[in-house]
Amino acid sequence: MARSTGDAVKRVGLEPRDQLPISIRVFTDREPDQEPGRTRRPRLKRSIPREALVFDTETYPGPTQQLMVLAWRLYRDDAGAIPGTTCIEEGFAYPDALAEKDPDGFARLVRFVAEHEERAERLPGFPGLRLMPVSGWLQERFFIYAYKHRDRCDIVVFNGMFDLGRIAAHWAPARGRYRGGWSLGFWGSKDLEGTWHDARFHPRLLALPIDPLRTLYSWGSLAPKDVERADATARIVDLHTVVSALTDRNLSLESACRLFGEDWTKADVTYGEISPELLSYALEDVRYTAGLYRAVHREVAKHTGILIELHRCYSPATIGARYLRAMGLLPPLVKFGGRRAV
Amino acid sequence: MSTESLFGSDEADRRHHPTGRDAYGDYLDPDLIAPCTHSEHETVHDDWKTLGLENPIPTPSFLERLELGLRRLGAFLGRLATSCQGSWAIFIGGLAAASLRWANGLQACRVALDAGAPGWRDLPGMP
Repeated sequence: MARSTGDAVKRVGLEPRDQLPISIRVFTDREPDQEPGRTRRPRLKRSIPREALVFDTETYPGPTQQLMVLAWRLYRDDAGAIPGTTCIEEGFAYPDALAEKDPDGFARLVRFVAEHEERAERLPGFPGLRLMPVSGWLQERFFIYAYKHRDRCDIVVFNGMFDLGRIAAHWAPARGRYRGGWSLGFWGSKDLEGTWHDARFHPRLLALPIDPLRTLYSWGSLAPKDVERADATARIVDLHTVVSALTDRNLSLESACRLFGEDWTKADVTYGEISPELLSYALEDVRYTAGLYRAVHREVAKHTGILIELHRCYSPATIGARYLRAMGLLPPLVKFGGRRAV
Repeated sequence: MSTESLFGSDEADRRHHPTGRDAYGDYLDPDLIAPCTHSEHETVHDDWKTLGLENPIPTPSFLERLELGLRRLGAFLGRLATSCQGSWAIFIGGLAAASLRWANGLQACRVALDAGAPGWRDLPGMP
């Protein structure tokens, strides 16, 4: 190589230099197609959730921060629309014992819903602001849309672990891959001795926080003696995590909304008691959470050619890894041993 | 001969009954049909499931069947309004809201009748 370079220098009549800028072209191994003999890659199918259940909780003050009221919105979108566009339901859920524990607050809640029934942003022909006990909401909304529709419905929250902890009725340490996390029970009851029994065909939710910004979720097994084993994907979209993955910043809901074009300033309300101001604030909070969800989807749609599922978007590296996979590059663990390609 | 979907998206391959069936499996109005695609048909029925209108309890009187039909029609028209443009969207949306109001009015009548004249369903000539 050196001889040929020197010859070339002599030919053009230049003096050799001490440093020569060079470029290296690296040829990498392409990941082989899954099926032998197949020349074309399968067409990319962008997974767009068809439904979205957006919710937020307000709590009583104190160390346990028990649930005071839950505000939610349910979206079901036409094909091709940005997820979170068509709201079909909006409402409140309250703790089952609210009427006994806080009769004044319950009366204010009922009055607010009656006075603001038409305020709900939903399709025409759909009922106005809904009100139901949280046990009914867990069964008729959370179970159906979070678990039974887990292939097509996003559960959208901001700081999901806090909200999910408010509505869980039972917890236990998780096992297996989720060791170190929690196994949350939403459906079931305690017997006279205080032992928790899960409702039949209703799984636990396994949650493993890996840092303050990121939590891994999965539905537990339905096998009676193995409820803490991970089984099905939980499509929980924590916008706090997703926004941090897209921006590499730790933002509040308010500042994230502002960054993504949803101009919103949180109302200055008194927390800790049910009041019309707090209920208005709760509805607005969910409304802007849904707006942020749409904005995030619009942002993600700019990444063409790769599949980014919001419930699996944990960090900026997730997006980079998707691009590397789309380019056909093998992950180091696969390329250099230790793990097989999937 | 192919028919365009009422939602205007594609060729219709389903015949949707906007008032649906009663608890016995009979259509509330067999002649009222809306052509739509399979996915639109699924969406409308999913909407009905969310609203608790998909599997009704047996409703012997015409008033109750009418109330159910109006609720379903309202939800169907509300969904249809999302695919309409301009003044059609306003009109179809308004019709959806009116259907729900009429259903709520009928429900109030039914509750009043149940309180004041519990045997009204068995009155002579009552459909």
